[in-house]
Amino acid sequence: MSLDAILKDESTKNFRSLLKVVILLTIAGAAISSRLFSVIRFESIIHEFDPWFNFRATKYLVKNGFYGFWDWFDDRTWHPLGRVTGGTLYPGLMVTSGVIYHILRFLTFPVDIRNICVLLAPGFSGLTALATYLFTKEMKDEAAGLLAAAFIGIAPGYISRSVAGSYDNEAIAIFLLMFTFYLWIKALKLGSAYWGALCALFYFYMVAAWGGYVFITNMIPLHAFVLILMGRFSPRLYVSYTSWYALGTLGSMQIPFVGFLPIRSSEHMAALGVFGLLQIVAFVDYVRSQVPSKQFQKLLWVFLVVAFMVSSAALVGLTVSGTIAPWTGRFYSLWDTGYAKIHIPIIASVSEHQPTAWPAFFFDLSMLIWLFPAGIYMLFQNLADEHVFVIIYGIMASYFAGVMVRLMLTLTPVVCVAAAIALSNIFDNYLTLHRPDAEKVAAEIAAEEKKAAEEPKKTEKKEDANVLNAVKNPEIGIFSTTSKVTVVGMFAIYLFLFVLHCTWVTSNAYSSPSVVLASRLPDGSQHIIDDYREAYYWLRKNTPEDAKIMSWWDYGYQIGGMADRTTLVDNNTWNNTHIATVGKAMASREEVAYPILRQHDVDYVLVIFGGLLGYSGDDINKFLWMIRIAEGVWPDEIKERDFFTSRGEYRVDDGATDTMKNSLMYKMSFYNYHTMFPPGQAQDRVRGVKLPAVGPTLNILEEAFTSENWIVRIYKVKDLDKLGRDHASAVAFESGKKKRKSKLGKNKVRKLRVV
Amino acid sequence: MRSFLARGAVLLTSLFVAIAQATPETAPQLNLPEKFAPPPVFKNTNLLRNIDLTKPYQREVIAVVVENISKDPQTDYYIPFDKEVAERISYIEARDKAGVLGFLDVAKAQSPGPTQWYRVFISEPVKAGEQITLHIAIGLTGVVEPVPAEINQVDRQYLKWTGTQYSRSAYVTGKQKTKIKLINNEVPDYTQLEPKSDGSSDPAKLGSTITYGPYEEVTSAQLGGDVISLRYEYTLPVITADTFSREIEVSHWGGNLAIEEKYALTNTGAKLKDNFNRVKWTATNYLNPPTAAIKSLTYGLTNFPLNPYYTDEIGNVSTSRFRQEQKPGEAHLELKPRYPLFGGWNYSYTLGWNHDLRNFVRQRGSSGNYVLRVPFMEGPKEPMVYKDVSVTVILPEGATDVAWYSPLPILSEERFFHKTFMDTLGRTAIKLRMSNVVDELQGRELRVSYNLSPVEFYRKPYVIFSALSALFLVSWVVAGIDVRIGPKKEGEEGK
Amino acid sequence: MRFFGSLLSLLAITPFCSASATVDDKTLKFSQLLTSNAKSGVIQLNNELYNAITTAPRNYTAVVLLTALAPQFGCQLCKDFQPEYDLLAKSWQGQHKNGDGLFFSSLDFQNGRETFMKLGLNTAPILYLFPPTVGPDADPLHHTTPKQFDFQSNRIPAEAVAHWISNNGPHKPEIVRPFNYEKLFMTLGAIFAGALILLLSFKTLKPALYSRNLWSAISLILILLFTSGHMFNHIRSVPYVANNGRGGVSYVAGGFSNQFGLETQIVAVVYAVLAFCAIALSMKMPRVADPTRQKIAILLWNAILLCGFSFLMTLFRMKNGGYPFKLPPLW
Repeated sequence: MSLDAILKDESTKNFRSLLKVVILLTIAGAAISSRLFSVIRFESIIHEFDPWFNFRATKYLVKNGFYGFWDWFDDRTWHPLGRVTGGTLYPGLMVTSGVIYHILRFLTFPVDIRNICVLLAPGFSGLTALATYLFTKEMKDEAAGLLAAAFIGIAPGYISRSVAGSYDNEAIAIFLLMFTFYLWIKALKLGSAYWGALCALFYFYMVAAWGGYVFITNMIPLHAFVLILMGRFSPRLYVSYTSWYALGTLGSMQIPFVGFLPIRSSEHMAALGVFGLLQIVAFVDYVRSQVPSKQFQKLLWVFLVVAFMVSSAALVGLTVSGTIAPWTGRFYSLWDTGYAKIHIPIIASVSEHQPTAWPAFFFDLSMLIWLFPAGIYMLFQNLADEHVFVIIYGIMASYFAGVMVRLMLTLTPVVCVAAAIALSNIFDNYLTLHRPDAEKVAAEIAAEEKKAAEEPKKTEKKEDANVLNAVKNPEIGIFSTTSKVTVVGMFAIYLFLFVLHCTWVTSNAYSSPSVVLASRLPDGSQHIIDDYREAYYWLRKNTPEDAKIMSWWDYGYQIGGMADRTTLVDNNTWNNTHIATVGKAMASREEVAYPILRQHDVDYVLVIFGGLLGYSGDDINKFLWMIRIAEGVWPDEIKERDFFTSRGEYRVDDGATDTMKNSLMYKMSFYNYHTMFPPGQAQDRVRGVKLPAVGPTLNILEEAFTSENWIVRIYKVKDLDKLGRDHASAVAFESGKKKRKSKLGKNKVRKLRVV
Repeated sequence: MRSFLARGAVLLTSLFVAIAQATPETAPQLNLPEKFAPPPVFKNTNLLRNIDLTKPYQREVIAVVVENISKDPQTDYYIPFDKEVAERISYIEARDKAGVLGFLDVAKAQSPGPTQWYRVFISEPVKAGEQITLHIAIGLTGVVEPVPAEINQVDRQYLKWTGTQYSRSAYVTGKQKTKIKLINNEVPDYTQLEPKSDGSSDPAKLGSTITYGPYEEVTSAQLGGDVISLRYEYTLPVITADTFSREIEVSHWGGNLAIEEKYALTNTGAKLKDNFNRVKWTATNYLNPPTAAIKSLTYGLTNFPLNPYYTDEIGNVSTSRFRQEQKPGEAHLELKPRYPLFGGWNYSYTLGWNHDLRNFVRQRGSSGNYVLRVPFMEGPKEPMVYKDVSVTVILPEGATDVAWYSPLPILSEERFFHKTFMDTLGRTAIKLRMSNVVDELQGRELRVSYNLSPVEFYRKPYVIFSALSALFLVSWVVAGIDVRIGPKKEGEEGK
Repeated sequence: MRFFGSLLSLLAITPFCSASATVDDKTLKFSQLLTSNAKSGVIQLNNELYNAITTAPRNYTAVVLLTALAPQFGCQLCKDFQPEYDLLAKSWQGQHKNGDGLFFSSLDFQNGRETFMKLGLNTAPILYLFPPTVGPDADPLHHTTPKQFDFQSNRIPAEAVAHWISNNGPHKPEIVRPFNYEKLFMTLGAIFAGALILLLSFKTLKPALYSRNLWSAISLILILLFTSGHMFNHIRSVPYVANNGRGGVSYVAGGFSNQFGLETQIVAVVYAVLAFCAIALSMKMPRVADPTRQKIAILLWNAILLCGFSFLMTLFRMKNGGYPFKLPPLW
């Protein structure tokens, strides 16, 4: 008997399921291990900026228990305002790792919470592979499912946010996203409230985990809506949707940070509207099934349309009147792409909110990016409800990914699914032993044509409309083995290339912890530049427990996590004015900045300076955003224009404007820097310019610490002068005194003091 | 093989001694009345006091020729200290010059008076009129302070030492002399006493040593004589470990001895006057001059140390170098703190490494009685003072009848169970605390003996096995349950 | 009517009559000028008027736009800005019949050459604001040298200018954008007509509406657009092509996060070709009845696929220098 027969045979069923499990486990293993580059190369450490807060919060949760975490007021950030942390974060991530932590304890595995946090994302990526498998299995079959799982396991687009140490909400969110969608599809297929409830449950988890839950909140209603428009309303749809919406919404409202948004804000209105629409449609459907009269049905349809119109009008009205909050900036900026740049510089300033150029797509998805449309097209072949979902998801996600680099994350899963479907379609045809018999086929076709000739063409049109061009003719199969071999071989090569690509991208682009910079010494050995931690640890050990550190918001979380000191602003940018205040202090002259520092009882100011090392991500390069944000609040005091030369250049060398040279940021960055070089040779290696021979002078600050490669510079804010002089004159006096001391004896100085 | 047996035997004997001496409460209490004055049975015919100040604490070695001037043999030689000085004593040891008696037992007396007495017990009584030469070594901390208290980044550091002219003794001292050894001959000022009989100045400075005396016929009533003080350059950083905790974990399954040391260092030298200036630091670093800042700490580890790690509260510190020496088993470990430690700055770190257990644990007999012999502490080579020290020994799970012998006097002992991976009732652990330890003492041997019955030995695999089998059983049962509501439909088998 | 207007203006002016006579005359004059061409609300200047309105003393704020609208100068910014400026002036006049101490005026290069020469201006548009020299809001710093509006850093719409003015003086102009009724009606009508057409031709449209081919085509096009970085072009408004230094045209922008319009279209086409290859291989080929034809076709599609992918990789390596992988035939 043929191989197919053997595979189809009952007796091999168990064997095949075992094989499936093994494959899935292997995929999970690959997914996890390919995310461990950074841990192996460096150490088990938290990476970027945001995760440092999550990590800190998790430690707090583990230490003070759930309720302590729930109403946690954090007075060590946003000084002097503080932050109601418990109510303003998505607790999902922390709670997850907290639970894991306690379970392991219970199993007598006292693993350090840091390691749990570091390895959470890779662990969940394995689950994501599983969820994707289930999802795709619903779309086509298990073969496609396994392919999809393999793709999502190693696709850089997803790895970029889930390498070991990137302890961010996305780490678990993508798994939740895929699993929620799978449950939704399952519920829709079976029309069961049970699966709907499960879907709602995971939706709730998703809400607790990530702000991106709004994507689900709008995808599912959109799917339902499109199905209705396609005239595919069914009790299954009704049951699954209503059960999901009712439970899911109630659940989501339990998260303090979300609260009443689901009924108050526009992002959630689509779901509500579709819910209402479904009720009406169901009603109409029911009545129609009872009352056969044609006119009456027409009437009902009219009623349906009118009701829909009215309700949507009502929604609009409510929004305008303000009962329903309009789109929040972040989401609105997705639609009106110019919006953020003008109105919310903070959002625009974040690099991951920039639009995506095409290389990024290829970089993150490689060959999947062109298999993706093919897969979408194939879904049209037998357009079942779930296929509609994938199609919509594909289109929406690719739009979002195009607008924001960050949202590449939501695109990746659907790309993997579609690509897997396409690929498995190909393999279905070319990886089979079945081989049509040419003569028989020819005969059949002849017969077909005869029949067609005899019968008058009828109902052809309607047929055509619902059949894809590509699949008009009856399927026959592949005759020659060579063509099979070539096709399969080629695709095998492509897949191999894909794996190489993913590994390369992961190891080169996504596996360097931004806290530690790795460089190569001339002899090729790895040299680690650890300035951040050097400076943070200095702060932690050698400054008073309650010292207030002012820095740009990017470093707020890290200072909180590593230096364990109070910060003014951090990456949770909830208070624009406060951030603008810091920006103003940085951008204005010393005399202006000093009162601000005093008012916020700042003890130390921290700046990042890459000039010596050529580290481009430093504060001088971020300075423009500080200025813009400050200008947004104090347009009269801070003017971006003043920082550009008359020819509109942004310069730090001799040609820099006076405003620039006198700004606190400039002074702090370049203070004492010129003394590193022979006179007049001072080089800024980031901007690639030669600096003025005389460095800036600082009166209100004194240099407290500078890290080995000058990346982090910490300044101590001077106290008010004892004699009530302003600092400038005080400093001038001191220096003058020093000179005199060297020239004439002490007594002269005493005289001078009397004067 | 034979030789090994022999060594084993030696080991065992020494161990019996060790365990016999173990546990503080067995040590004899010495109580003295308030107005105690030792009987004048001895005379120090000749006394030479060597004070070594090359480390940031005082190492004093008194070589004294003691003559028994009484009628009958004597064993108790008393040494007096002021109470407040005695509190700062890190160690005090005595042995006879000839070395036939080995180390003599030095007992700290309990008495309400202002004087703190120590009694050296001469195990072989000194007959009347006979002499014995004692070497008494004393470690004393808190005798130096930086003067000036604040210096600049590049300035030199000076310490001021304060002491006494004579070596204080309970007996009449015929002839005595005090030699003070310094790190170099840069000594700006030191106490000048009135010239000696022969007119030569007192003290006499020769290179890096300063000699006070000789003095004749000093009675015990004269106590220490005049206060003398020196101000000298000190070219090394003054390091103090406010807390030091060492954890020694024995794992029979892993055949591994894991050692982890936690340090909280402070530079107690002259404080940094103005702020740290990176430019100067980089500039001076090329030609590295003596500096008061702690730049690096070096360890000489022995006994085949494996994969050491150097971390602190925020993760791995990448600036450490680990090098195997030519001599087998020796390794050189150099740690650089994240930043140079200037006066008054703090730094804390954790250092850990592993050993092969076989080099440290021997089985005594076949009864599952083991003996662990491990260095009490292995700090860096740099001279430093440990204020508060705690050493924890974690024995395998189920270890019983733990007995220990410590080379240093212990403040407190604590026994508890340490729970870690796959422990059911936790591992037996003892924690020893002491204070005011100096680096001079590190490397001394701590001995712990314990019983571990084979049953206990196989506890872990047994527990794991039973847990897993229970898990499988439960899952099997659960899988078997039919949770469907309503009648079972046809063709649902196999779905 | 004119007279009446000026009279009104006179009445309106009277409260101002505190400063010196000349100033009042000027104010009067300009408010008359203003009311005379009440349509636009902008005083059209010429050289002498310019001098008159700018020279001290002033008890009013004068906003002067120096522009060049004539087509031969091809000043796009001028053209863009003009309607905004008019709108601003109009809405100010709407609230303040005759200026009330804030005059919007504009001087075109046509009838103000000398002034442009005199000021040594070679760029347009330039927007000056002359604050008053007498009265409570007098600004001694800017008696002769006006404040200048910064075109590059600001956004052009009237609101920005209004904000600038209110920053630099006592007046707080508010923009009233006239509601565009005809536009509304147009859209409504369009919607209605569209609905009507849809309703009438529903029968004929129905198959198209239900045709999977149509919908699949639409969705594929959308996806290809987005995944080939169209939104980037849209947001960053990148050039279609750029000329490389050596006079030629470069189609591919250097740098990983940068691209040209044409470049993205090429990429989109490549994606489409590759996708179509996959579709053909998986769906069309098995339906070819004749073995030999099928064989040839399959090999053909394979070749196309290979070339396309290889080309795509080369393109990518242009963007990302360090990319190590290649695919024959196009190295």
